[in-house]
Amino acid sequence: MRRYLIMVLTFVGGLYFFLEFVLPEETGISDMVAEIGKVTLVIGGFAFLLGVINLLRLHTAKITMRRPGYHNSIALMVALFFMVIVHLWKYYANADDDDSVMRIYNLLWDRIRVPIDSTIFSLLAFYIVSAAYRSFRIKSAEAALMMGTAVIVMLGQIPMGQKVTLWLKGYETSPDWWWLAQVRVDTIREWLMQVMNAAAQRGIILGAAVGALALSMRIWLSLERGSFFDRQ
Amino acid sequence: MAEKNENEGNAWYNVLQRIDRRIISLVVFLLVSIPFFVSIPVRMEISPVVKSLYDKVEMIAEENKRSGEEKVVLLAMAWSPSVKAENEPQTAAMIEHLFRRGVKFILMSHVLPEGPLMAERIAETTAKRLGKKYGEDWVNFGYRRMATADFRAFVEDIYVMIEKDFRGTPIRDVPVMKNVSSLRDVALVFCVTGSSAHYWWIFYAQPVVRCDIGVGVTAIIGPEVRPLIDAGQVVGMMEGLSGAAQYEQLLKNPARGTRGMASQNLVHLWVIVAMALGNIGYVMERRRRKERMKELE
Amino acid sequence: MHATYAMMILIGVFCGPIVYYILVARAGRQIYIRPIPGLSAIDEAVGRATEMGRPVLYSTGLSYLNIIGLCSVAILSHVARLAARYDLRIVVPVNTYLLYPIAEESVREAYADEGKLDLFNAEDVLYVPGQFPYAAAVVGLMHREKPAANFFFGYFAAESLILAEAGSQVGAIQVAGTPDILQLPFFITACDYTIIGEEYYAATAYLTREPTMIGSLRGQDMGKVVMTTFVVLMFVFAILMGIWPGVFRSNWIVEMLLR
Repeated sequence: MRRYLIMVLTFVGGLYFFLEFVLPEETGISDMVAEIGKVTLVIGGFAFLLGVINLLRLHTAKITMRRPGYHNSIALMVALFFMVIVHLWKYYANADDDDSVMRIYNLLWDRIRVPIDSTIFSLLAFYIVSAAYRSFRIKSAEAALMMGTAVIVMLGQIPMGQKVTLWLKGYETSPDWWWLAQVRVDTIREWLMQVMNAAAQRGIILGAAVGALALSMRIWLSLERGSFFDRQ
Repeated sequence: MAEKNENEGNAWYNVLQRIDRRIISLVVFLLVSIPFFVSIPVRMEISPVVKSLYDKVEMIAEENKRSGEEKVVLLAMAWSPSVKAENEPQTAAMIEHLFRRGVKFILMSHVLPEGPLMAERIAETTAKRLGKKYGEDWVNFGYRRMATADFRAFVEDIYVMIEKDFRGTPIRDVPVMKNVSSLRDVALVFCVTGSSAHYWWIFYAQPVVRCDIGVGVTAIIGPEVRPLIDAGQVVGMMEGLSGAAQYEQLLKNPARGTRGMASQNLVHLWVIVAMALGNIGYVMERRRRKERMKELE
Repeated sequence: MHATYAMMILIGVFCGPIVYYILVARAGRQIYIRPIPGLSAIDEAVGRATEMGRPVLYSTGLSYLNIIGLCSVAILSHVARLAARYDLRIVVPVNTYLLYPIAEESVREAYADEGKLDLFNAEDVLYVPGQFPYAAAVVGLMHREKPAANFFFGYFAAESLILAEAGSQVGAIQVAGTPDILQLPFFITACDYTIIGEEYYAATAYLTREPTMIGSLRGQDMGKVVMTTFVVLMFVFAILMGIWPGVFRSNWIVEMLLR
């Protein structure tokens, strides 16, 4: 019974949005879309609470039972509650820039949150260089071609790399050698990104989009199978 | 035989393939840091996609001057502190350009809450320098979370979703919003993002109101935007830090983007050198292996 | 935003073959799909974790509650079932609050189905919000728990390389799948197996081998064939327009399609 109810609700929900897309606006079918959007936001709010409760439950258990690494959980709980309190205080006090609560808020934001977030992202730079060094090996002709392309794209992006072939720009006005001006790393890079890359992107996007369409249809028509979907 | 193998393992071409990742990371750290202490001049060739974005803003400014209409630009700030290194210089360059040319703009985000906050700081600092005033030259709607349906309603009528700016002032009372009621009154949407937030504007806004869209994205996302530029859906792009540096060069205002390019310059060269070292080692090892195979035969 | 005639034609072009081949497959016709190494490697990876007696880590990335997230949870269900069968722990960090209860329920039921509910630990399914906090948390998990197999299925952004490299450092076998193009180079570099683009959406069909789903895979491929044929024809048409503009005109096509 539950299974059939889910199938019917899924189908009706999907059918509404499908009809809303294909039928013209004059039918008035789009009027409910905003209200449905608000319903999803409300449901999302409940789910958000569930996530926060899970966090609190997990870390409280870790602290009370003194599991390894419980000091990290203490730090998380202190940071969580402190940030919430400061933010609520700032909001309800209508604080100005000079108020102490604003200074605390700015300290937490500018001096802690922003640098920490940027720091983790900056790890990527180190990982990319070490991954590129480790993995880029000319094991075949295709690999050699890929590496050559990568070098051109990287050189074409940086001032020092562009300088290597900048002198060719002087041939722009030459009647016989004007084409040399187009053989600079930055122009080749631009061509590779705009023509070759765009073509490859389109191919993968088309495939992925059709795959997404097929999966969506299967879910809509409750044809999807597998451990998770069977149970639904 | 074992000794010979051990010697082979320590051979220079094998050592080149096994450089400790800590050494590689240390070199990256040093190369990024050098430009902080040693000034390295940066002069870039301007990419066509950056130039077309710049030209679009110039065109809006000229059109406003000619017609007296005062079209505004909407800056969608869908970025967070993690991508600050790339997106902040892009935002700063665009705000500088708009202020200089007297084009009013709106700051907002419906995806990430931090973007409008950080953009507001940039706008205030730049406004102080250029003598601009909040409310008359720009307005900040702040962060307003929107699902798909809400966003579609916002595209048709801004006032349906946004009542007040981030300072609590009703937006109908803000001078910037005098002639603006929907996205049809916006000359350009410039979306700065480190994720796929630009698709919101391309999928849901552009087909309805036919607005022009420009993007400022991290370098990782740049390749994904290229087909959109080709199709005319995006008028121009600042791609990563180099895009911001090129835009600053067009403005003749070297700032964060240009300073950052000096570091990126050196690290890119190091990546090329590291790959070359690894491959020299690999090719030599293969050659030696072939020679040994021949000897054994 | 409503469908133009072009959209409706495209809907027909893609959905028609899908429906047709689903019916064909249900009628009993055998349809071949090529092996997808990444999906076949899931069993191998879990087997390796069993031999080493180390847990399995499954990351849904930044997937939201959409088809990417649901597909990730479906694959998670399969992996959790395998882990339960071999008495393994599976650690599942989830980034989105909407997906978290679904993921937890899915892992719990996988263990229950294998009769190993007592092995299920709700704390192994964690909610970690934020992109880079998530990356930092998962990297820490990898270094502490030392999983033998890592699975990355879902939507990933810049943190993909951080996760994959950290997994590579702890020596785990790694299988990644994402429909997002931009992270593919990082996964291909750092992971043992990578599932690209539409292969990700085909995962449930591939793992279950259900005729209906195999039929839909064939249908989507046929839709692509039709589309590609159309693109080639338009390409030829555009060339002919350039050579004989008076004879080959595009206006009526464009007007009809955009109406």
